Amino acid sequence: MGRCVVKYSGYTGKFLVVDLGSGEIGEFAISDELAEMYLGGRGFVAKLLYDRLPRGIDPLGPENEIIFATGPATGTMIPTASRVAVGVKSPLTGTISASYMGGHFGPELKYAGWDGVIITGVSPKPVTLVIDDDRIELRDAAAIWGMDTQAAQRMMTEEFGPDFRTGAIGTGGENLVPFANFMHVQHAAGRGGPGAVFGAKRLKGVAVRGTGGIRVAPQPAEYISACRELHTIIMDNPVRPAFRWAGTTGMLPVVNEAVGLPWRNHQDDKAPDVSSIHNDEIAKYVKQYEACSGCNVICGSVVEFERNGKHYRSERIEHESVWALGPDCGIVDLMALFEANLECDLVGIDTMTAGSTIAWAMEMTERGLLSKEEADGLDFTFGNADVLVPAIRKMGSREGIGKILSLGSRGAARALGRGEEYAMQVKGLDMAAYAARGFTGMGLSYATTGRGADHNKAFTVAAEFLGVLGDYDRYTMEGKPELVKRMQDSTAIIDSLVMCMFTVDLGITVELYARCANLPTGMSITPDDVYEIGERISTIERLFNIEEGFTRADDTLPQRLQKEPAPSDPGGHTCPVDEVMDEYYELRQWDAEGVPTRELRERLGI
Amino acid sequence: MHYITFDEEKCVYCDMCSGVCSLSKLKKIKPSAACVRIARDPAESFGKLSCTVCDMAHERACIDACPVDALVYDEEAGVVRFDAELCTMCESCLEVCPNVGIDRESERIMICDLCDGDPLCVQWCPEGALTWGGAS
Repeated sequence: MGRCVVKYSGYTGKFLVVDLGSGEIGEFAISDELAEMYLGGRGFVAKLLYDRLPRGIDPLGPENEIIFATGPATGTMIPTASRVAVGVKSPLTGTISASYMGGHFGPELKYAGWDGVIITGVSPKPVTLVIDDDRIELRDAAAIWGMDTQAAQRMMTEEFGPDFRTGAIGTGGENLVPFANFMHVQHAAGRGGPGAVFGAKRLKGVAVRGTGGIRVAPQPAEYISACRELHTIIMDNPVRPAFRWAGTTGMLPVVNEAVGLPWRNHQDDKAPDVSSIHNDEIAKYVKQYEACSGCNVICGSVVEFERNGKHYRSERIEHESVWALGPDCGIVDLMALFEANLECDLVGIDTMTAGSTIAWAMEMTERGLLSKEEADGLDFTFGNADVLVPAIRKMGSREGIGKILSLGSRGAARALGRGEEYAMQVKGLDMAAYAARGFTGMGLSYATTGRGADHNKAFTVAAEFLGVLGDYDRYTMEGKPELVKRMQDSTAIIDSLVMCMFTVDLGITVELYARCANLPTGMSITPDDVYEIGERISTIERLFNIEEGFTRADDTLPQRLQKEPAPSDPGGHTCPVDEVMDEYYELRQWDAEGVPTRELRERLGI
Repeated sequence: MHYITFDEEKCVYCDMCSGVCSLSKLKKIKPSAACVRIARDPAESFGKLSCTVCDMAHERACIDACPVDALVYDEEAGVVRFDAELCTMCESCLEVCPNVGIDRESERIMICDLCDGDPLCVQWCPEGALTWGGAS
């Protein structure tokens, strides 16, 4: 197929373009300018969706596109650069959205010769996209349609061969649950619901095998020693052993102790006792450790456990999942959380939105606003661990109460006609495990991030609590607009390289992100450029949303978090983000309505 | 005699060994053509990992199978050396030993040469799953 036009190494130079409607296969070449301005991953998703999608389209219609985008560092031995962005116009929020997954899928795509894949149209029948280097095929997927994410992938491996990397949607995606995910093994591109877009396109899965290679700019020996330095920074970081041993869940008891872990649908920010879900407990079930490609953090592992006489083998539960299905629902029964987490992965829905929506149903039940009859007889009482799996299954199948709950907390409240004030979300995306009232930077980030309450677009907890990247007061709003803007912009680079967010906690600074971009590519990006490229990506995402009708009114937090202090917080803090929105907009060079100014667009070349 | 040893209990499937090997030997990051490759048993979820690399057992089936002298045994280093000039790409060596690899793009037979005494894959393995030691 076509030749590479981009002058930089690290890229393959082209995207695969697949029209599922016509079956037509094509290519999209990466220009030097696109690489310089948007780098890769999230930046490419933002630029491509902004340019290609007509405004106001139905996210589940034929015009929406799925964009897989790797970055210049993906698969090049840059530490943690195993990741791939999966972008869509979100069926959950209506905003632009990119989700990220690790594992081996992203690197394999590049070894196959593709920086990414653009998928358009709707297939007349269920299909699997098979990418075998430059041999591209749409295969009938009738036999695996209806299967869970793991069974479908096992069948794909059997059909195509063990050296293919696989990813698939489950029944959640097939049934168009707007927070359905796409799963590669048990790595999920979940938030924002890309799985529903796959379902709408009747694309069950993607299998990829790459036997080619990626060139990097320097001579091998020089590159190897430069990468080695980066790996050593992570290996020697004092936080690394915690990730290696406890995965992401190590933070949970610490954050809870600090009154920063939302409990019972954010009615409080501290669980009475999390000892049963402490990482020491979780560690007892670990059977083996798992890394993503090219990563020496090694935060993954496989657990084996039993519940109600059944034996399971699964990827260990992560921080956000254990919180959303657990403390947010008043549940601290670890086996139930392992089981619910696996059920979400099998059905193929985002654990965070699933958990937060169940938490909403529980508060509605507590307040007498949702009856047991309306809930198909399911008992949505806070702390009832046995309701998790049945609720998740109903969400996936969209039967009975599942039809309502499958819309996320805000959508469910609107469908029911009540209880939106108890939906703990922004722009329709449910919140994460860091209390806005306990970390006000997180609150401002939830309020202003393009696709809603996403905890990974400016992880200010690093600067407000962990002492990385500064020493900010957790509670005051002062200085937070500047902190949030700066971190949103630098995070856009991490998401574009595509590296893992954990590197923020592991000693990788903005100077080093610039190096991670420059090393494979031969570019000469400075730390200032990092912020500017990040600002460009943040701005074009904002423009996408503005042109979709989003306004200042959408950049806010639920009133509970702005007005009511958490009962366990002796300081009585809240997170009044509305008070600093003018300051945030001004720093962003957005006008009073939150629209990027002409001066800003001109400066950034948008 | 020295060779790379693999401990499947320690391997976490990070693929760094094949990345660094291929870059060093082929000037490209190309795990599928590396001298050392990790594979997973697909029969079960998170199945067993195995490593393909020359075990220096030196039954030397690859050398015996080579119809020309493209593969020769280097007594001093204790490794098989490959000569691209002489190779006809008949792939007979691949048929006789599962540890022999190939890079068809550059027409090279890929057999571990222990990186002249300090194997990169061992240096890069973050978990100590690859070691290099040896016995005869």
